[in-house]
Amino acid sequence: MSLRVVFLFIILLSLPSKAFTVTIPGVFGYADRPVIIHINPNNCPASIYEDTNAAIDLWNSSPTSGLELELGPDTTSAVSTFKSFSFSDSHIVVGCSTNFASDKGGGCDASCLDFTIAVGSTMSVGSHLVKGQVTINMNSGAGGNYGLRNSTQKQIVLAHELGHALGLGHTDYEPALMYFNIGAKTALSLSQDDIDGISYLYARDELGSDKPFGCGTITTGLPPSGWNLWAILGLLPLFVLFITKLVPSKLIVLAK
Amino acid sequence: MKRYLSNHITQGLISFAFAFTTLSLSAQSPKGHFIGVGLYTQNLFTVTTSNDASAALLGDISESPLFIWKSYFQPFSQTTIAPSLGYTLLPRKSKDGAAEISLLTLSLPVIHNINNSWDWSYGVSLLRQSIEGAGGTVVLNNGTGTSTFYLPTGTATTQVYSVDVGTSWHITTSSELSFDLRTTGILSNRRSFFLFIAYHYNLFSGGF
Ligand SMILES: [Zn+2]
Repeated sequence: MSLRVVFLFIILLSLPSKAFTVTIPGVFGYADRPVIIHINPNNCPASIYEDTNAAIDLWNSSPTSGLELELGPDTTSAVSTFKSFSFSDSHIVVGCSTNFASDKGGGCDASCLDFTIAVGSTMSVGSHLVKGQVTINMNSGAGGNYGLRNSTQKQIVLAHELGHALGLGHTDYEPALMYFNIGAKTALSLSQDDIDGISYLYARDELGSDKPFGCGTITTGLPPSGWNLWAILGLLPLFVLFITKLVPSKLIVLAK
Repeated sequence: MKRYLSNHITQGLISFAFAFTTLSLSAQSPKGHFIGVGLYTQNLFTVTTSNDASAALLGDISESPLFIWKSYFQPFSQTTIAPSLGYTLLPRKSKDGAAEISLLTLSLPVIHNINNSWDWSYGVSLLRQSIEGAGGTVVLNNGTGTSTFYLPTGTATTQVYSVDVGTSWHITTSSELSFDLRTTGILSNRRSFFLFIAYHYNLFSGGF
């Protein structure tokens, strides 16, 4: 083994670059923790709570981010007030619109109604975000109707729009949750680009106000957890023992 | 109080690591001082690298090599410690140089000798990542048209601890290959696995 081989290995492993964006420049997320989400369940499918919780768990799983999203009490704020942020709830509201052309904001023609499943946006005061919103397309007859999606797609849509409500813009990195087109996605997941973006907006600091080893964050069932985790950690020493007992004598002969 | 404790644990850990590094430079060290180059991959099993958003078993492999200083030190007759400092001299870059992401790792593993060629270790690390952006705007598709989005500006720094297990294969007395699995957020739903693979070379012994 020489250094030359190692450097070649690095060059071969080079991957395309990724670039996240933000919706408001110079603003670093919400100042408060946790960030609360309020749902107005009017006109929403029954799965709205499940979908929102899945999206919350996904963003909360980001290892280098200090973001803590939490589902709060329902809101009665009308979805028509969302686009102008003229609701009184703190942080983020999620609601469903049967008049999406008007509630989306900025207009939405027939083709927009067919292609836009939901929108998310945010507003800031000073250097922090103060309010965010997700408006879901429940227009009957529209191709973009949220209710027509399967449960994974619904969760992906909500997680993507929550990303906007948290301050993230689109990216040109296609595997990312924040890529503009989520049509190709079959699973709810984050890419490193999404993690970089949310860590930039909500940097985790275990030397500062965040507790070490992830302490103090809500524990849920994201993999690997429970028995899977203990199985992996428990089997590791056995694996190390296995390769060190069986492999070395032969490999060392080769190396010397 | 908790914040106070956490800051003190951190400061303790850092001083501990540096004290050992300094001490090991002046004192006799069982195996010596190594420089190394490594690769790391983040968020095994959970992060996606494909357009269908399926999870990647091996995580997201960083294109940016880590340069490492590692010193073996024996504070007590039965205990070997090998503090190491790793840094990405060439940060991983996002498109158009919009953001540069550097990683600094400070590790304090306790080494257990298995036989002449293999060690295994456990310990704690601090992973400090800084995301630095030059600012600017970019026009991207928004589904029905285009929108202007903003590239990151300024620096955001994340600092997390990890709990580590690893193994080293001593190829010769002057070179070794190490594998480390570092778990961040081990007590939470932020639990994430990082894998570090590094080749270390003994600076002062000479010869490959
Ligand atoms: Zn979007």
